[in-house]
Amino acid sequence: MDLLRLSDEELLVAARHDARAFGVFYERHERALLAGFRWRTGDAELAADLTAETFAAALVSTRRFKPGGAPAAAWLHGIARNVFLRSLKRAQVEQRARRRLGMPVLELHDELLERIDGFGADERARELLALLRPEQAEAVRGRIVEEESYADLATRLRCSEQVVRQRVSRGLASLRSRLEEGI
Amino acid sequence: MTEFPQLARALEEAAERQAHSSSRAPRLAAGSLAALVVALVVGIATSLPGDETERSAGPPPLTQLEESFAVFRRERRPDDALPKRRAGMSASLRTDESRLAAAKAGARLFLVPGRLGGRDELCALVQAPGVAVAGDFACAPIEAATDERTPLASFGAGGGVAWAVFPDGTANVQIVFDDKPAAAVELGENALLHVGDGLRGISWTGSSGERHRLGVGGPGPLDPPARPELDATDEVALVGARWSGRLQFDRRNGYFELTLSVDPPTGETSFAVWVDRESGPCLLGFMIGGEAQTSGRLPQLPAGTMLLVTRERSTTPQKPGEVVLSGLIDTAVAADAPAERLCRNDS
Repeated sequence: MDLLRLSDEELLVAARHDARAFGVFYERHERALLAGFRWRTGDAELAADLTAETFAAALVSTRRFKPGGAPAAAWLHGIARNVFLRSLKRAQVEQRARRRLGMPVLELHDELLERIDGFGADERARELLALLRPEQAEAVRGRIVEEESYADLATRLRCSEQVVRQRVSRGLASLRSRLEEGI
Repeated sequence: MTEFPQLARALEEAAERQAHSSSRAPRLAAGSLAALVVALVVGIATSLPGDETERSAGPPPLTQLEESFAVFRRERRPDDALPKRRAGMSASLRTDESRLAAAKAGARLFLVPGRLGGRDELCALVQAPGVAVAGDFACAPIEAATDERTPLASFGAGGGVAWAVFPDGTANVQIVFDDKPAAAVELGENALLHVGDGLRGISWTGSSGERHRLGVGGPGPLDPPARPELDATDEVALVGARWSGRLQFDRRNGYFELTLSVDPPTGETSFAVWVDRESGPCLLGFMIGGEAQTSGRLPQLPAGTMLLVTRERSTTPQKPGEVVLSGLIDTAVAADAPAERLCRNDS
């Protein structure tokens, strides 16, 4: 099976029996999560720690992931949000999932921390767009990030201008709502 | 290409172990597990095992419970089976995965995975002589039950039985008594079961190393609080001074069932259930009488901030509206708020 061709949802299902599938899923979302946590905490070390716990918690929960419900990225970011809020409440990064999985304590090299510190708006934008349905994400990316006109976007996405406007509007509203939730 | 190859490797190794572990555990397959739906019947005995005509659509997975509670990782034994007849329960229970977590002086504490309102929960049943029907069964969302700060627990269910269920990694559990020094207790299989009157509270150290406590009525201080804002000492002292009743509760997320068997020193007692919202404390229920029972659903229950507040309307000289008892569903919190402030936020 070519795991790289699988959707996120398919990867999470496959990960229940195939460890490599979770590896692919991890690679797809690693930067977005690191960037998101870096943005929230302003600290690369904390971001790495929170990212590790989030993926560990996601791994523990793969059997509970239900394809067809929330997109896998939104599911992952929901876990990230919970990890973040619980860690915030306890004033220390949660380690429960990593302990359950028997994961070793990871050393954080300066090089990695510098890379995380270098994550900027692009990664944050990618992280947020990953929360949207694909057609909304593409419309928002085209209009807001690439600054394409509605007419050009409509041509590229093969739909009417009205539909593009609607996708952009709904995508932004969804992001606004998620930001208000603290994601 | 990964930014964090060390984490990627660790996750893949963990995923490998998890995949292997699940393939070796066919008992976890959803289809092989029976889940029993028991209607909410308080005070009417129902048969648990064997009555499997209704099954929940999706039995809750054991994974998280197995990871957090050693008792669910061991092989099931014959004495783990639930008693034949129980009463007053509302749950979809995986009775075939029940575990006997503690037994003492004729009392037995069983743990059962369950599902309430679509959420995976850990439920506990106590069978003991003299335990009140409504007080011997409690559930909590798995997230709450595995949180070291909020163990599933019940005090004063009747017959002098108190119990608490702790996740792995809990240490230095102490029982605080009314009239004798605190005693260290060894946890059995994730559970504390105490039979005998005079229990005033328990304290423990969670896996994070943080000390926690949960208090009930009676005089005498618990050990010093780690966080002043969560100081249970004051309100517990108030309880002992002005309240001689028993408090028993069934802690659930967004749902409360509360029974107060009140034996006030004088006069009529009123009590209310409050939740401390961002906008201020908010009245949720109000009852008058020497004995009362209520249940209700709490919208937007913020974790860790639920208060039980009582006022005595009696000849006891005290300020109107003064809080004389506050217990907390999740965590004990001291409260000393005038009634005017509380009532302004009635809902």
